[in-house]
Parts: sequence; C-alpha cells; structure tokens
Amino acid sequence: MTEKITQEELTELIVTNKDHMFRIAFSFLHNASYAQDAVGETIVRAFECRNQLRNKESGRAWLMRILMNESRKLLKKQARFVAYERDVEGDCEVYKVDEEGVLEYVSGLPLKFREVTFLYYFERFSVSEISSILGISQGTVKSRLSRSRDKLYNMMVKDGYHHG
Amino acid sequence: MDENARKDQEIKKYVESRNFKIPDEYSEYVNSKIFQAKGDNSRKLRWYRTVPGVAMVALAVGVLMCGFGVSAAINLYKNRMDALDSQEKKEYVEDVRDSNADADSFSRNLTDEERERLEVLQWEYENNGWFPESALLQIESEDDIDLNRVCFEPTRSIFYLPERTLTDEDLLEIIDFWHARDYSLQENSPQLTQEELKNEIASDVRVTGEQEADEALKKVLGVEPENFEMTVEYAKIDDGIDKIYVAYYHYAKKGEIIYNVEIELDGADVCMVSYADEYDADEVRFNNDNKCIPDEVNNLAQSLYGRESWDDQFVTYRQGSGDTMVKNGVISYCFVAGDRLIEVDYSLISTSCCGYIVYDSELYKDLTKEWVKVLM
Repeated sequence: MTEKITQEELTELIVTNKDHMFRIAFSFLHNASYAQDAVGETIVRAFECRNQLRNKESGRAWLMRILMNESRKLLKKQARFVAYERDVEGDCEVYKVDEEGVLEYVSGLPLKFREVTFLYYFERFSVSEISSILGISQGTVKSRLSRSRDKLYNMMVKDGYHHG
Repeated sequence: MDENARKDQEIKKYVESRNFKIPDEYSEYVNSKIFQAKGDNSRKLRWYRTVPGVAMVALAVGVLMCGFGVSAAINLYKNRMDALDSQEKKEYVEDVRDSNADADSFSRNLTDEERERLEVLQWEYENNGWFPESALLQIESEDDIDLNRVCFEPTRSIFYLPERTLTDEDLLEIIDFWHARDYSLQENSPQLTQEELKNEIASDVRVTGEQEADEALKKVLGVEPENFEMTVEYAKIDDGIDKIYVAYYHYAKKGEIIYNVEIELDGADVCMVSYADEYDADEVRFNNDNKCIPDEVNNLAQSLYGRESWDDQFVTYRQGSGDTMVKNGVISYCFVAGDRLIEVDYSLISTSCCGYIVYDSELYKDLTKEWVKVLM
C-alpha cells in the first residue's frame, strides 16, 4: 500500500531539488526570471495536487514532470511575445560562462532533444527517470541521447577537455 | 565499460565542473512560494469570506446581543474577553501591526469535517461558553513548531496545523485566539457606539440600506421581511485610503436569527444574503440539466448587480460522497463581471435560490479551488 506525501515531505522534496528545478526551467526558457516563475508555479501546483501523487518514492520524477509542464506553458506564452529571447538584461549570469560551449549547443537543440540531454547530463537523471518524467519510452530517451552524445563530447574536447 | 558509457561519464563530469550560478534571491523566492502554497487555505468559513476581522466582532457580538438572548452565555463570553489583560491586548495589536501578511492562513487545508466542526464550535464558543483548556501556542519562527499541536506564527500570520485531524481543543484554541485578537483590535481602535456610527453614516452617505435589505431578502429568498424582527449592526472599514460603511441586517423570529443581509451603504449594494440553514440539507446528484441557469437565478443576478451581460458564467459546488453528488444540495451559479464575481446559491432540493454573495474574482478562485467547477 502506498502512502501519500505530507506537506513537510513535499517541502523537503522541493528544497532538496530547488537548484535542479531552476536549471531545468532555465534550460527551457533561457531567462532567469521566467525560470524562477516556472519553479514558483510548480511549487503552487505541487501543493495543490499533492494528493494525486500515489507513491512517495516517485516524488522527484512527479515534481519534475510538473516543472516540465509549467515550463512548457511559459515557453508557449513567451513565444507569443518574443521568438527567442535571451537574458539580455544581464540579471542572470547563469550560463553565460559557457556561451560558445556545451550549454550553448544544448540550448540550441530542438526541444525534444534538449530536455532529454539536459536531464541526463546536467541533472543526472537516469534513463528510466527521464522516461517517467517525460512520459516517453526508455528506448526513445536512449535514441535521443545518442543524437547528442558525440556532438557534446566533441565540443567538450574542443573546449580544452583532455580525457583520461 | 563501452565507449558510449565512458563518454556519458566524462560529459557528466565535465558539465559538473562548469560554474552554474543561480541568482542569490532564488532560495528566498522558493521559501516564500512554499509558504504561500502551504498557507493558501486562508479562512474559508462562509461567514469570514466577505466580512473584515473587526467587523466580524461587531457581527459576532451583534448575534449574541440580539439573537439568542442567553444572558449567561453573554456573561461567559464577556467575562472571557474582559479577562484579557492590557499587556496581552497590546501584544495582539502589535502583532497585527507588525505582521507581513494581510490575512491569516493555514499550513494545510482544513478537511470538510474539520471545517464543519469549526463552525459548530464557533457557535458553541459564542453561545454556550465552550472555551479551550489552553491558549494557542504562539511561536517566533517555523523552527519552533510543535508538530503535535496548533501553532501560530504572528509575523506571517500562519497557523501551523498538525497532520492529524484537529481535535475540539485545537479548534477552540484557534477560535479563542481569533476572538481575543479581534476584541483587542476593536478596543484599540477609536470606538464609535452604534448610535454614533449611525449618525455618521446618516450625515456622510445618507443611505440606511433598510429598504435594500428588505428587497434583497424578498428577491433572493422569497421571504417577506414583515414577518421577522429585524436588527442592524453597522461597521466602518477604514484602511486609510477608502472608507466603507457596511450594515448587517439580521432577520430573526423568536430571538433566533434566520436570515442575514449585508449592504455596502455608499452605493446601497447588496453584498450578501444568506440563510442560516443553508448547509443542513442532504446531498443530491448533479445532472446536466443543472448546467442551464434557471430564469430566477439569472434575473436575480441581473437585478441585484445591475448588469445584463457577463464576462463568464459557470457552476460550482462542493463535492459530496460521490463523483456527482452535491454537498448539502446547494450549487452556486457564478457570474463574472470584470474583477467581481456574483454567486447565486441555488438549492436543488427546494429548487429555489438560497443565497447571494459578491466576491473578488481572484479570492473566489482561491476559496473554491477544491470545489467542482462545471462550465456552461
């Protein structure tokens, strides 16, 4: 029998994963303010729907799924106003350290490859977790990852990385 | 390790070594969102929905004074409030003044049972002298929470509730706190007697609201006001920017208040008409026919709010024991006009209107987020 998540457990889950949440939202939205908004909406939504979580063990994936949905919603809103808006105000130096590197590459990927790549390499989710978060098969996750792997690796080496 | 796994590992390691800076204020933002989300269930009782805190005391005291006529109960209540020492009262006032929040909130939603019990105990507290054994535990920060009892943090105006079902003692502590605080605030604010307030209203807005209250009662509930003894309580809400006068009309029979009408006097606007027994009915099933707004509901919303077209219309109800069961047999037809929402309560049992309330639309959304919403 599964046990529902309490408010305190949900709070802890959010606090533990808050940085992951921010980075994931940022990878979608390319803007710190929007990323923060997406996390905020996710928190509100998670508390509203916490009774829908049937198994506490999958709480992290469930939270990320909400975040993905909220980020997508914001992305759609954003798209109505600006085709592609970088964080021009400079209120966030978050990923500018890597303008020419792997992040720039990941940011430029089509959404379906971007989300898989970011979750796997940057946020260290397993293939099965990503499959659960995105609601796609593990095979699809693997195939999308394979499309990014070599390209990422080559960029890394170009960026001065020496393996071994 | 195969080639792909090796590359994966190296990419992860490389990515980890990059400096990803997260905005400094982000942690504080997350904490505030958590607080907001946890405490979203602000005071949801029907009687607290439109009536500001201080005015509530006027109403509560008014109910006692003219409604039930139980002098012993009045004495018990009065003695309890009088027993608050000046230091205690001063602290209540200072806490409200220093609080960051505009309204109280709970750390979790009250269950239906807890909410219903709270209403019952509220009545018993005011009328039969049911008081808690201990005072509400007040804490300075979240770190001091006692998980086994209700705690209140004045700075954020949050009641931290235990996960278990609240006992009568827990609920009475909350009720007692609300009364003591409202009483202290009321005592601290410049006091006008009802007579003085009535005179001020007469010279300022020149509307008594009596006629409007009678008409609203007839229109909403089909009740002839002449058959009842009517009393009125006035309140002034002055937030430093706007000054609003409100009158609460209580219609009683044999000392027992049955109907209430709230009128905002400046525009003689009807804000609320309610029927005391509204929530004692059985559950009934919601069906598709109920999506059609009955003519009397439509006419009522139009005539009381003075508008014929709406930005949106829908039905809401509190879910009963089954998917389509309506708690207490009452559904609410909602009419949206800008930032206002007009709710006309309709009893599926008597097939007649049984209430009318004007809300701020956002507040309504918040208050009814657990209700079933049916689009037209």
